[in-house]
Amino acid sequence: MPTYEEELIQQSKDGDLDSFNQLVERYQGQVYNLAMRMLGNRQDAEDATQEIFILSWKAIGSFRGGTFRTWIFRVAARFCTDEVRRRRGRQVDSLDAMFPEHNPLPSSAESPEDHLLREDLSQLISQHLLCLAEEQRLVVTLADLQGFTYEEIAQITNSSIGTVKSRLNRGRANLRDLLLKNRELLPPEFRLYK
Amino acid sequence: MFGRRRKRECHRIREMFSPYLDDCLTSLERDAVQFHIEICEDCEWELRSLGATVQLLSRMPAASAPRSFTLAEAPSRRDWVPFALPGMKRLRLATTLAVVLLAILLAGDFSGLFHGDVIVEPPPEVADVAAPVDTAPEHQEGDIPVQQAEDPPGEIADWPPEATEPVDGRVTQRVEPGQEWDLPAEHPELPEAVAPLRKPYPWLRPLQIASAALLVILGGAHLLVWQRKRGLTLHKAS
Repeated sequence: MPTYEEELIQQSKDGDLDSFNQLVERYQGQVYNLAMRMLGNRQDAEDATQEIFILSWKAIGSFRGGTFRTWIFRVAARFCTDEVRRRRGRQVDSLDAMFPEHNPLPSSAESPEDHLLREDLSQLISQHLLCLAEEQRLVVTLADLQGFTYEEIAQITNSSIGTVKSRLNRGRANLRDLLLKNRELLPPEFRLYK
Repeated sequence: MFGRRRKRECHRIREMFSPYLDDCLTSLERDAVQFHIEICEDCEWELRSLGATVQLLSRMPAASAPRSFTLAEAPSRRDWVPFALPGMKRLRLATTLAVVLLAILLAGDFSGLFHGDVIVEPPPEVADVAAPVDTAPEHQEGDIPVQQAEDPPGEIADWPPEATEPVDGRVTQRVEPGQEWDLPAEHPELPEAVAPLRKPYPWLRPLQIASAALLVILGGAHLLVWQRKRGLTLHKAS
């Protein structure tokens, strides 16, 4: 018996835009998050997310079953990687690049100081993530920020599990090295010394 | 020796750190990592620092979508270009194989690896060559082929091709156009220093042409794919 998502996919294949828009609403946050981490720029991430869903609508006929989340992330990952490579030539220097996060107001559970520290840390990590090679950035984002398994990442990136493990290891190690260069900005428990 | 082995072991274990942190190792591999970090301080720090990095990443807040990305109207599906064409992997593999094949063939050709000795008939005896003389009786030497009746007298006198005196250690011979022959090794006038004539194997040229043609076809296919992707990119940019 098909799940509700499978029904939506089938109706989308048949040309029902409303069904597809339900899928968009379900995955737009995750796709935008990936685009944000990959492109490091709010406006670019918005444009990319919109394009990814347009391309997904056009390509949904080629979806042959499996997990829709993995499939749509495959489209998103491919689009973002191509976009990063295309823009590699020109450096983006904008306020968005320097302050990539959308800063919501602090929740009632945390103090303004904690919120500020968390935002600083988030910006620091975001900036260093952008310094990684795009393959490593993609794998680290998918594994550590989006929670995909190695098998799913291998499907999304169209590579082997061994490659995923290797890229994740190198990506994490490179990110660690970058973060330790600004050790004083890290929370005390993460200021690791040998 | 021990240090090198130890480094290799450290490298092998460090490759397993990410799966270890993500709990994706078998119990045996997990034991191996734990055993190693107990005796290796560097690896122990490496693992601890990677674990801290993963924890830091998990503290990152998810960037929430600033607006809705639902589609107001259905875009046309006609100009869709798939990101991963079905045969792209095979196309890449075939292109690589064609390049490698052509490179091997060319290298073998230039280095003479695919060249073999030419098997030639022994040169005709003077009497045999002289047989057609009946049709041209005016030539007293009697060793000129029929078609040479129209040749200028000066060139006729040089027939048959003979090994002349060695010049700088090389033997020069006159060979008529289109004539294929070589002096056999046992020929009495041939010095031993003259190497036998080597020609490429008959299958070499057709194979070279076929692989080059295949490469051109595959290159064209790649160009088409690239153009379609470029068209998509331009479409995106617009």
